[in-house]
Amino acid sequence: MSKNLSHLSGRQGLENNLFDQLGIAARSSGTPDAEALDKLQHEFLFGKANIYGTVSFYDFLKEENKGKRIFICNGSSCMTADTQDNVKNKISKEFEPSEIGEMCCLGRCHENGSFHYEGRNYSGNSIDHLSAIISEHKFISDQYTTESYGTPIVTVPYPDAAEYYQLFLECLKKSPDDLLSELKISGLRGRGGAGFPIAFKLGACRESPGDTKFIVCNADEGDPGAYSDRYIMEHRPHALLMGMLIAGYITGAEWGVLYIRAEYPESISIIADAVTQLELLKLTGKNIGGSGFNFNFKIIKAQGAYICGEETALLSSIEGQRPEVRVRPPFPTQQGLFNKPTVVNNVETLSCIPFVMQKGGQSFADIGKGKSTGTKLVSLDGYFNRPGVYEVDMGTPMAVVFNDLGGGFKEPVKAIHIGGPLGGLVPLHKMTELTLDFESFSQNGFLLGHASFVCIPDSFPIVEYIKHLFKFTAHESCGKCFPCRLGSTRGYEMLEKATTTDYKIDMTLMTDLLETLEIGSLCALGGGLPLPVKNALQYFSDELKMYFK
Amino acid sequence: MTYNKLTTTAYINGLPYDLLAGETILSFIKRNKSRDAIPTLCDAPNLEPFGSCRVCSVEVGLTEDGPLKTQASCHTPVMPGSYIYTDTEKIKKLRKNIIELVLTDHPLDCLTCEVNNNCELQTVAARVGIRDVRYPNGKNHLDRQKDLSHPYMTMDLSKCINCYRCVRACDEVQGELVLSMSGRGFDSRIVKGNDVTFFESDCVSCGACAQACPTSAISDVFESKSVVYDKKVRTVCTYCGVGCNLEVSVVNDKVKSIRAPYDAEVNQGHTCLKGRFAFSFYNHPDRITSPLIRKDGVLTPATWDEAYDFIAKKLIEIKHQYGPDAIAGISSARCTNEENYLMQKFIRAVIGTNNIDCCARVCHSPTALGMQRAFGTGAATNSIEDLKHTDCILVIGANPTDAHPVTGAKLKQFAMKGKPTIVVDPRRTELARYATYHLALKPGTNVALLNMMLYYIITEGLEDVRFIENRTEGYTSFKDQILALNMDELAEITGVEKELVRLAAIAYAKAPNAMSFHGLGVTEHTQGTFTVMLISDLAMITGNIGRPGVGVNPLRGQNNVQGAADMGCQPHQGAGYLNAYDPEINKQYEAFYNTVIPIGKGLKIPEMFDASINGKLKALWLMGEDVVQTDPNTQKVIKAMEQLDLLVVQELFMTETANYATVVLPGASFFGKEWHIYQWGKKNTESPKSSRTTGRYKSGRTDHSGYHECDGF
Repeated sequence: MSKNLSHLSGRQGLENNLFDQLGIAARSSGTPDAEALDKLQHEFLFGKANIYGTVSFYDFLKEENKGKRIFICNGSSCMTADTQDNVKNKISKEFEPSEIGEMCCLGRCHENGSFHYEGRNYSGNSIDHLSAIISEHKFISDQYTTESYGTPIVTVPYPDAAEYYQLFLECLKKSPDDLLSELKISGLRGRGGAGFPIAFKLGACRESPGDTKFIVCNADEGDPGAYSDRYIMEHRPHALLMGMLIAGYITGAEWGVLYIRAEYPESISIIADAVTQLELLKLTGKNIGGSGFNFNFKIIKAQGAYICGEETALLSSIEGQRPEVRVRPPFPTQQGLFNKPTVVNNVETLSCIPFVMQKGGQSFADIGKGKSTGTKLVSLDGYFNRPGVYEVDMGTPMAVVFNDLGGGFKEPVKAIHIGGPLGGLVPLHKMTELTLDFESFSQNGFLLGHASFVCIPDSFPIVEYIKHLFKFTAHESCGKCFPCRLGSTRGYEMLEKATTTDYKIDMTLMTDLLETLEIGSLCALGGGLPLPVKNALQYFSDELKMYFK
Repeated sequence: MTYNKLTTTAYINGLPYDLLAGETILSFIKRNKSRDAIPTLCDAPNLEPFGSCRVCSVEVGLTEDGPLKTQASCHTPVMPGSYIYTDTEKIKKLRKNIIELVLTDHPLDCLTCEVNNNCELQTVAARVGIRDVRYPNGKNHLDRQKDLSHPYMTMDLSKCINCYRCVRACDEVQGELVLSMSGRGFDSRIVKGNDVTFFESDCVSCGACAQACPTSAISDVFESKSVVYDKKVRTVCTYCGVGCNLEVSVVNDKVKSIRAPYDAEVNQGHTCLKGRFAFSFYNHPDRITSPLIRKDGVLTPATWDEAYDFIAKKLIEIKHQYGPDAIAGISSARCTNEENYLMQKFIRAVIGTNNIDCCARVCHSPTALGMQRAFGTGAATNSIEDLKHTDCILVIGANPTDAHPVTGAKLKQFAMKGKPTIVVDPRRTELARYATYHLALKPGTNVALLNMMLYYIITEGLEDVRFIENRTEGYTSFKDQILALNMDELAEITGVEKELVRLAAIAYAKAPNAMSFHGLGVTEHTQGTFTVMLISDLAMITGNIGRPGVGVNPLRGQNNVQGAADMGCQPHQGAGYLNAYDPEINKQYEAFYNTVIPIGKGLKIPEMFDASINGKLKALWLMGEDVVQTDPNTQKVIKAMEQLDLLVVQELFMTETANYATVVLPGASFFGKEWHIYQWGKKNTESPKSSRTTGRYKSGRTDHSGYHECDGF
């Protein structure tokens, strides 16, 4: 990351955003042409190399993306569901190989068989209607269950926007310090995976000197298997936007940026409509409700890079830099977007704020267990009888999630990968020992993460699954730190060689590699990969020992 | 012991050391143990911490027996009271395992590599004790093609370890943004521009990337990183007024390569294309290696004694026949203080005339005079270090990224970070592209524009009243005159919108600390002195003088403009700027030189040409000044040279002027001198054979001229 580039990008303000412009320039052919790049380079005073470096980083901007028209989901859930060979076969009949790309997780893990065509996602049986989709632009929406177990906080229906935002206008009458202290009392922690208290971030940003500050919503829900943020954006967009407005009021930020992944086209358009609605209600812009508070939203469409879910990479991404993980300090609350104080929070976290403001921090803190207050959304994949997004109180026994909500499995499952690709690989027999909260998972050697559930059926070889994880990390590694850039590829190669030849992996070498990744990596991508691999080595040693010497 | 927030101590391997505020673990350890106490690859002395290689990792505990966490030392601040362990078994293993991974994608041909024994990867690999690579053969990038397209820079990405030091140097040091990483993950690789060759890219050949590169992935044609040398000599570059320190590798009296030392305040491990690569002139076969005397119209080699005798004889003849004022000398702002001092002393004390001048008087005399009037002395009020303490810069009539590349790069860094930068220049200079305010005035309207700035500072009520009361004189009438000006009229004259000037003036006045820089775009105008005075007024009216990070800074053209003027190489002022035409002062000079010193008006350079054409000037001695090439009206200058009875030229090469010389004396370049210039350093290398430092033959010459040296100078 370059402080110079951060500043130069920020000079143009958010209205004229370099990363946005690159996405627009790539729209027609799949990659920006040389003329567009030249123009942007001059406009933003970047070096040619900087723009080239950025474009070449993203799946949906890079030159290889040129001419791609249809994208097949290669996420973990579609892989274990074994639906994608069929999808690919059918697509290959209609499209040239050069027109077919891949996307990593379209968030249709409840139906699988997912693919993306002309700005829309399809899943389930949609592939059987491919010709109608192509010729008639037939739209087929997906179906999943949404229920609450305990107190509905995020899933609770809200009234029409004009009425709902009375809550926000009430907040504007209170002091930011009062609102911040409610958040402190609530104990609300980040739902994106790290579990960091939001009040601490907002407070630090509020204390940071500077007139220009930003609230950034991390809507780059890249974990394969997770689609709860997508649920919020598409079904509860105003809970999120109000959360951002309140966060802006607390910190003194006047801009809210929603960084939404390109793999969620519907989310982008629904959020855009919701922002327009706020504009019409005069709930954005200058002097909102006569309070003197100014706030505007900017939607940034991501371009296909899992690493952008890491907050500092996300900030560099918005700036049009290569989304490489930054060192900390400085923390984003000190020097974030365009070198200005910035709070980055996940969709679900921000969406909890209206509840805290309405019912008080204590009401939120009363829900849950220990330091895990409130509720958590979980995403159950297509192996459950009732796949969907469920909101459960923190501390809910896992058996309840599985049986009462998920309705059990459609076919025998041996492990569940919970919390994204860097979460723990939980064998089924451990499941009943867990409750759904941060502490229970970490004490048992797993990770709650974003609480996505990807089932691994009995028939799916564990070795193939961990190979998939190494491959995923190797593809998504930003390449900045040595352990992740090199280690993810070397790990994949060893597993590939062991599964296709008589090569046996040296267990000491694998252990060394995992430790190097775990303690040596700059961010949680390289640092997190060892957890599920170590879980696999521990709980599925019988299945794996044939590949090791 | 428990963790104590108030302590200013932390422990390295069990021993306590004092902490400095904001220190990283790595700098803390380096400062207290040794520079190489921790192995690193992506760290470099002049770059921001980056955290990519992770080799510098250490274990840290908040209590003596508490749990330990592995942290990269380069970017992690030291927690007061923490316990740092630099070489635990876990850390040793981690470092070794990281290097093992690096070596899975690096050629193992050290013995034939350009940087063998000078490679940081090789050093770290040996240190962590790598014996073999356990991974099976996999994907690699060993077949990447070399890029040898450029006259200086070379690239071999098969040797690249992706530490980004080159990318960061191009960004954080030079600010050129030519390099970036491309792609991602395992296949990411360095690109220049839109993935073009070095030659096709916008590279300015500063060489910062090559110097930063820990392997031979980026190097230069001189193989600077690895050249075997008899000795390394530290000197000061004389290409421009910045004064970069250089470290010269010498083999058999030949310059082999140049690197920029990191411990030099002026350039901190950086220099420009010229400083780093333009040294081949030193051993060039075209160098003049012996004195030449014109015989029968042809310059013919002669001995030094022959040359001295010839010159002395001719000068004595001319002095007897026409008087001392028929002789003149032009000194050089590229030469050392000692040489310039001796030159003016020779002309004044030995010849007996004030006909001594040099380009320093021409280019920056408005600075000297203007600042003398304003502040009492005519020199920069700051060192370049002050840039770290300033909040706003005003650059007027200067294009430092071209003319003073290393200082220019620092100013550009300032502007690129969005700190208030005001550029006053008709041209859209590189700095103007990045500036907050570019006041693109019409050429020759500096005075009008600065008056506008002063006007708005006053009308906005932004004067520093206390400073003005305590430290200035005549402010009331100055203010009245400024306020009497018509801004619409001045806006018309300058061609700059009033509002833009107002905003720039506010930015300058409101900055806690503001510095100004000016160049020849200020001084080489008829109103140059007044412009310098107005720049000084701007500083005074806002109290921006007399503290770190504030002041007025002329960007001198040649390396020793300051010194040449200080030494008295101008007709009206002797050494130390004392009035050469004042009888009282003259007595002091006479007492010091122990001879009669002239008091009559001396000739300035253009007057010398006229005097020669009019037959009044018969002899001219030029030291390192190619007047035919550089002075205006070439035909006239040639005519002046042709009219002379004696033209002595001291030069490195046969210049345009040397072609008209009666005697040519071979000069020593800056690599061959051991004397001083007035910047920030000392020069110090060996002399090439058969050339003499200008001062040496000045001394020799005075003996031949019958003047006896006094003690010292």
